[in-house]
Amino acid sequence: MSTSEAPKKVTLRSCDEHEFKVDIPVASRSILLKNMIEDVGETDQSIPLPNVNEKVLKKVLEWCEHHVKDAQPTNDDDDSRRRNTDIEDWDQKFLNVEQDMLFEIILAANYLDIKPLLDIGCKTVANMIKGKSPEEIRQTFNIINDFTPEEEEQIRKENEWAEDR
Amino acid sequence: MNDFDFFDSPPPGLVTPVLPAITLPRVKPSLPPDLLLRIIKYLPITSLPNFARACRRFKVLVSDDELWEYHLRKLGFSINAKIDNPNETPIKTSKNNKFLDSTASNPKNMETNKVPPGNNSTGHLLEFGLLAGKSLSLIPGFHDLFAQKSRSSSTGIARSIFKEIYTELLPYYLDFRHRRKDSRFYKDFTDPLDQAKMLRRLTIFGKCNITSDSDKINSILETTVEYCENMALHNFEIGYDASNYSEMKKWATLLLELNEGVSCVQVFIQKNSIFFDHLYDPLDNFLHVSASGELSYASMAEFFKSVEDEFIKQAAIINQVFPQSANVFYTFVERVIEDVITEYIYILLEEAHNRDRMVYFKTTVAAHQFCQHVAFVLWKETKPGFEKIKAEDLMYKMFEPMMERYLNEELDEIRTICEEEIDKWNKKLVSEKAEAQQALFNNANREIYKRNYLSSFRKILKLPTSRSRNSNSTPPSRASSPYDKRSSTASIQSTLNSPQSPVSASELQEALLWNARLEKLQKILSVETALQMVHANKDALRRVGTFVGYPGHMGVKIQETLESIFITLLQTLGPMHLKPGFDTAVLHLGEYKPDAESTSQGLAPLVEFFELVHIADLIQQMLQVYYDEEMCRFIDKLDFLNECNEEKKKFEKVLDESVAAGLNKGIQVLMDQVEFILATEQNPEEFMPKDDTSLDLKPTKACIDAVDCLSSHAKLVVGCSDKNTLDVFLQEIGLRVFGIITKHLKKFVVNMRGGFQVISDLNHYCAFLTSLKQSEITPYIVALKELGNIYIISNAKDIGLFVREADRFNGVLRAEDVYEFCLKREDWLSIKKEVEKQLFGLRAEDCLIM
Repeated sequence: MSTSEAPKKVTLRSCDEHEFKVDIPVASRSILLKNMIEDVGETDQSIPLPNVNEKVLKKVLEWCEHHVKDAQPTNDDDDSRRRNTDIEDWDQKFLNVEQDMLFEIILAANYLDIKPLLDIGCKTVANMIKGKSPEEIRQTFNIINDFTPEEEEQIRKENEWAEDR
Repeated sequence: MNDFDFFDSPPPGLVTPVLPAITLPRVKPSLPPDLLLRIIKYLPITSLPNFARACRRFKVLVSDDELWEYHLRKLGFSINAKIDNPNETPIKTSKNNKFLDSTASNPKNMETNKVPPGNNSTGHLLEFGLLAGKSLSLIPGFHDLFAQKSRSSSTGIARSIFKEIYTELLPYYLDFRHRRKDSRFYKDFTDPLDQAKMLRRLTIFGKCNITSDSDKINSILETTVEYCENMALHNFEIGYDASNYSEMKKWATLLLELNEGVSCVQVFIQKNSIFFDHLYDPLDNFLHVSASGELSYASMAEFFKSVEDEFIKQAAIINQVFPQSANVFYTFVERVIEDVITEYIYILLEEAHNRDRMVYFKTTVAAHQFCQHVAFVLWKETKPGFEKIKAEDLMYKMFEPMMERYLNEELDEIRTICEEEIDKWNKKLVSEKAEAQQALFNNANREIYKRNYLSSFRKILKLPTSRSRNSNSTPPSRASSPYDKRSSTASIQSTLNSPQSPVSASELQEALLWNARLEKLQKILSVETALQMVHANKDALRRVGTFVGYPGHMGVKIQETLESIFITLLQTLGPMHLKPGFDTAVLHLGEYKPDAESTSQGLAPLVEFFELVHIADLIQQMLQVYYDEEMCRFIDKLDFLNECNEEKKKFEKVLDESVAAGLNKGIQVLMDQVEFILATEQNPEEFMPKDDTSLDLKPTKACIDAVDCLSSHAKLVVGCSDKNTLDVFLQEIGLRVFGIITKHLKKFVVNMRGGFQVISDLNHYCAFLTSLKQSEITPYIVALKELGNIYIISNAKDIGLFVREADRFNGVLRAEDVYEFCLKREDWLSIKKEVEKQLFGLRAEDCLIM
């Protein structure tokens, strides 16, 4: 393919002022960017993304690049996708990152409106929580136990019905 | 519950979160509740208690309606129902057995889309929701409704409903972790029907992410369902073979409860002998072919009768065995159509197509009629039957794949026929060119012929399709008897011979007679060719017309084909038959040179042309009749955008233009002939008689001949074209004749006695011109009459005055023109001085004293 036929590019700017030149189809994995590009049309100006830093944006774009050929998700298959808790091998490897990074990817995917990425991110976190004790969950999410022991016991009783017996 | 505010995010419902953590990289990022909720939706239910115990914020999330509504939806609940009926509080689990019984006795509940009354149990809700849930995504904006619901306003209803179902089903569900015969499931449910119902509920329940080992449990559950299904199917088959309907019903009900009974319906349908006992061979239809190539389709009739009988029989059985909601009969009919009828028709049509196109067309129409009858039986005679539209749709759907080819072939055939006819005619024309001219009819007769011919044509047109074209249209018979001039006569004859012919024999005999006579009229155009084409066209139209009523895309296609068939006729008949015919005639006209042999009676090319105009007119009227009788059933006459109407106009325009062009040429030829007659026959002495010859004051021979020639031809054209064209034609003749006469007169020297001769000639001409009845040429007639006087005025002075008096001639002739006539007076030289004095000299009264 000659250079003239190469896909058009768009420039994205992360919050820490790093610029990324991205093929429009790749950037269009993000519904936010897709709509923006469609509205604005061709432009040399970079698109600022104040909620995403360079590291995360790079990672997200890596995912977009890999999934550039996927069909755009439609609204109505939302449910069917979620039903399946399986994650593709590549995605699994891709999300095998530090927990902070994982959360940031989820946040970025949410912000940029990339549903499939958001979904696999959430699935990954769910798999992390699955089967863990309350204390382990607190550690994972870096949160403090704000219950008194009595309160915790009461919550346990309230939800006892759902436990696996 | 106290609302400890851990929400550091914007108000609930706003999806885009503020991300304060990102801007300060050191701080661990925290997820907003929307995302956390998204995450815990992926958690197995059994993992939720521990999550809730982690902190207050998580506990609030676990209580969120959205989470539980999400899970309920997965169980097939319509959340709408819950919202609309907040009173619908959970019912105690212990009631479930009773509830199961109630559904068993009332299977209709499965279908109903109404919200069950408030005191129904959750189990019931589950059943109901299965169906309602399917339509969930059809409600636009439904999801938004939930996304926007405030998190803090969680009612807990969804959670308690879920809890209800969960606590009821979980023990049984977990039981399937281990394959044990003594599990609670088998202890609590002994009746196979109850077991089936429970298994189904558990299967659906399993779709919800219950435990971390859900997949394993689900697969065991699946095996159990399969086992249960096989057992029931086996019993169902035993029942089927024994024709034990109550036994069949029992197991069918169970299977319907278990998994909608797909396999059961499958078995029921597949065991029907109609699918493997092929008693009817489509090729039987071709065993008895009548001499004319007609098929009786008796075998096909038998086949369809047997299918219809089977439908009626099976409808009754299905009604006994299956609940109506299972739609088994429809599935059965669908299968029969697909596997049996379609196959039969396909083979039939394929064979017909291999044999002959016309047979193929007729077979297609016949098959379609049989299918429509099946549809009729389905909605009328089977009990319980179909809705009419559903039955017809089935048939339409089945026939549709075969329609495309049929329509294309039909259209192709009509084109071929048209071209063949034209071709044949052209060949014949070449071979007959040498043939001598035949006697002409007089004008009055011709009008009657046309009228009669048309009326018989109209009658023939109305005859049913099958009879009117049987002998001359089917290619085999045509091949055996080479085309002869009388094939259209033959078609009428064959109609005559068919016993049920609705038209009386005498009328047809009459038609025959006209037909035979009309043949003589055909020199360049052929009414027969046109008739053949119209016939072929009508048959095609009738055949395709039987398919009118098809819905959707195919309906449009059929309509288009109908129109194309008609348009093909117009397009071949117009540009390929009429136009070349006229061109030839005009060419003949152009080649014509006046000669002495042509009498005033037979100006061959001109006569030929007028004949042509008559035939063209006849053909056009024929088409008009055809259009009125046949085409108007399919199209709107007033729809000026319709292609048929447009093409018809175009056709008429081509015809009119051809006629006009021919008439133009015709006038020229006629005038040449008149001039020729005048030039050759007029004797100069006729206008310069010796004093002693007696004057009988009759028109001269040249004059009589010229007028005869003119009037005979002018009459020929009457009635062959529309009035406007005719008027223009006659006016043109009038003007040109006037010009010729004046020019002619100027050639001769006339004496006083000759003047009277001239006047009598002029009167004769004028009589002819007046007979044309064209008011526009009246001034010319008057002028001509006046003109004669110039030769009989004896006084030179009066001649001068006469010439000057231009208004005598209404401006038709100027003084100079009249003066020229004076020059031709025998005594011109002697009167010249006096006349010119009158004309150009000044007289006393012309002088004015200023």
